[in-house]
Amino acid sequence: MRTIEVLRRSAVSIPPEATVRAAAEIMEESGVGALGVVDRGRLVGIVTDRDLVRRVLATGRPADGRVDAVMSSPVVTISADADVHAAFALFGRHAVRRLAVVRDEQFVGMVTVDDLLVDLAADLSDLSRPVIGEILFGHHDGPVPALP
Amino acid sequence: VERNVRYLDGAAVELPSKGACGMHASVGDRIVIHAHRSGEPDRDGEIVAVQADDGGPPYMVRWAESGHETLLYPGSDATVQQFHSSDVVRRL
Repeated sequence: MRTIEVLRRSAVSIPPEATVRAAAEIMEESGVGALGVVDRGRLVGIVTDRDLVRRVLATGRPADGRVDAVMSSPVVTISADADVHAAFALFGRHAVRRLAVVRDEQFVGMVTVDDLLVDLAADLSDLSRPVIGEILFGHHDGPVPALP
Repeated sequence: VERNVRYLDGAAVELPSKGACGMHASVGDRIVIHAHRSGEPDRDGEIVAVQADDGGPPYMVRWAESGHETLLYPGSDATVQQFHSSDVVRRL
């Protein structure tokens, strides 16, 4: 399965000159916890709600400062057409909870550890249901064909 | 949109559908981002610009409350309410 096919949440981007306050307001209004920072079509960073806490609130930076001063960069990205198992590998290799999904260097979305975990939990649950049924209610083999 | 009903802890739950939803929109349409958790509100804004010739994403969205305009890359949590009265598409 391609990474683009597991994207559930809408993603939002802002320009690097946007203010920290605007970033926080957009996060609140759009319901996302991380924004792509896109400069002339190219992804240059990500700013998360945690970035705003650690790099703005905790340090006393002004809310009218530019968002690119507090964003995380460089960004760990994955191609939209990469197999989703490549996303697992990237999450394992980097201490991040989100990957920016790109196509031709254009930001197209965000994939999170949480979304993949929910998918995996649901897949495992689906897989285990018939096995649990067999354990609880016995095995139902089909009849053995009679010998000719 | 294909429903995604799964079983977690023995209970049937409906997860948001996976993947891009082949969305098409025009300037003036309303886009709604549906809540991921119960108790959260849906979010909505007006599409003020469409990048692709076929009406595909991303969209420049003006958020209803703050008036901020941002590029939105809709996932399957988003739906478009179309209004056909404004058929002139402003290119980004």
